[in-house]
Amino acid sequence: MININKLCKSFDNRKILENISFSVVKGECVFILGKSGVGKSVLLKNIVGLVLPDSGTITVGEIKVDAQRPEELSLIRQRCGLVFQFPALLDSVTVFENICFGLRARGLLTSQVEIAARVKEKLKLVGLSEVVLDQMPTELSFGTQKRVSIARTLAVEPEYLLFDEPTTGMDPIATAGLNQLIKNLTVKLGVTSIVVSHDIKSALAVGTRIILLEDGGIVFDGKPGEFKSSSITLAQEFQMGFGYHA
Amino acid sequence: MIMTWLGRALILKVGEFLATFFLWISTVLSMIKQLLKLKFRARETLLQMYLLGVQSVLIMVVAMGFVGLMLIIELAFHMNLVLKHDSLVPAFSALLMVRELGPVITCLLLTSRIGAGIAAEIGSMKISEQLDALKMLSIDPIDYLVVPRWIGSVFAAVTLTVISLAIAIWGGAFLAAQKLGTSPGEYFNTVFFFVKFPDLAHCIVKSAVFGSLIPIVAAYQGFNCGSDSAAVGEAATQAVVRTSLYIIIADFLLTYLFYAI
Repeated sequence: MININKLCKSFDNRKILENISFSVVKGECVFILGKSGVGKSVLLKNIVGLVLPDSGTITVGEIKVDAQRPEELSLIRQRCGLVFQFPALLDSVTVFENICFGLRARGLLTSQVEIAARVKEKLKLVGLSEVVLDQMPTELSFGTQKRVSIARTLAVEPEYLLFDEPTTGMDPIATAGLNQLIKNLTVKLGVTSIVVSHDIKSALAVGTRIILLEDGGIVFDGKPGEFKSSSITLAQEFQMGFGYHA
Repeated sequence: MIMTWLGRALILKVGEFLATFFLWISTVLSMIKQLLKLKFRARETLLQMYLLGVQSVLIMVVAMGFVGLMLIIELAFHMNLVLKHDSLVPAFSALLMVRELGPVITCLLLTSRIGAGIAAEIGSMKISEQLDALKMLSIDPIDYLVVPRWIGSVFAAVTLTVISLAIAIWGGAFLAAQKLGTSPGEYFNTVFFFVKFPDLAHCIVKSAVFGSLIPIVAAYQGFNCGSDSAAVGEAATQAVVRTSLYIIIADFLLTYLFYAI
């Protein structure tokens, strides 16, 4: 379970997040929606300690996110996988090296055969062929890089998956594939996911819960069905913007 | 108003200096930790030794060769002017080269060749979230990025200084033979009479310290660069400027220390 309690975060005296509180229980797939710059990505980075809150607490499982305890922060990062908005692949090593980086660093698998099998399995899961394994990230398109970055995150088989705008830059077929993947991970494997997105279509199709952020706070927190019938202006604007309003 | 501004600026500069110093300490500690755990990134370290050291040899040889020639001309002119003879030119030029110019000029050249590159590389990794990705994969960016470059830079600084000294002194011997009529045998006899082992030890220590400063200051600038491409350029520039400044300050402190002991 991820628990966020009264989280506040400012940058240069500009309040981004103010008193954000919510919990995500095991097996949930929570979509966090909101306009650009509302602090969705900042919220995700707070959960894994890449950005530290000004006040408030975050706990992942029973571990509190605390910069003063690097060992515990490391444990949280082992339990959470974060797919970044941009692929963030290490451009000095091949796709294969990128995907198995976490496996080697954490000593999860030691046999080369097992590592290769895991890399190929995750690559297949994101719809890529083994042809890309020996290529450098810069030789790939943005969409392919993004899928490699998802495979890298999945390779270490985290308990919690955090996606920062996962479908940005992906074609509709790849987007549908990724939505299906997130759904499968949630339903079949019980992985807990938090997805930051603008994509209302994906949120309604895949999410088990939607949180809507506006002006640093939560203005909606409920099931996709409730979101569809919500009277909140921003919720209606989101649906109208994507032609989803009833 | 001006005092407040000056005070703030001073605090920022002192803060940055201390942060760089702590990064230096943590890099050294990380390196010791890696050595003790035998989890040494040997391949990456060897690659950095090649990139930072071997690929810098040519520019160092050319630059230091000319420095050696210039020094003979300058010293011969001034000694003839003041002392009316130039028999001590080989000794003074070699001493000056070993104790000061060799390590300082070599490391300043090395700074301009590798410092900006390290800062720009780490800065662009920060912008593209690669540093955050490393942290998420339980990899310490200092272990992964700074330590191999640090070892590579120290290795490059020391070896390039030794090579540069050899080239500069040989260049000096050639010019001294041509211009002053000093035979190579006479030249090297004078050099070895004046240049002693402690001078060479000072030279090695200085170059190792300067070489260790280059990747630390550059990495600090990279880790703390802003979030746009202009900021990466600024980080690269600042890396060269600040490293050069720190090398000159460190040179003064080490020279003072060596003469004191």
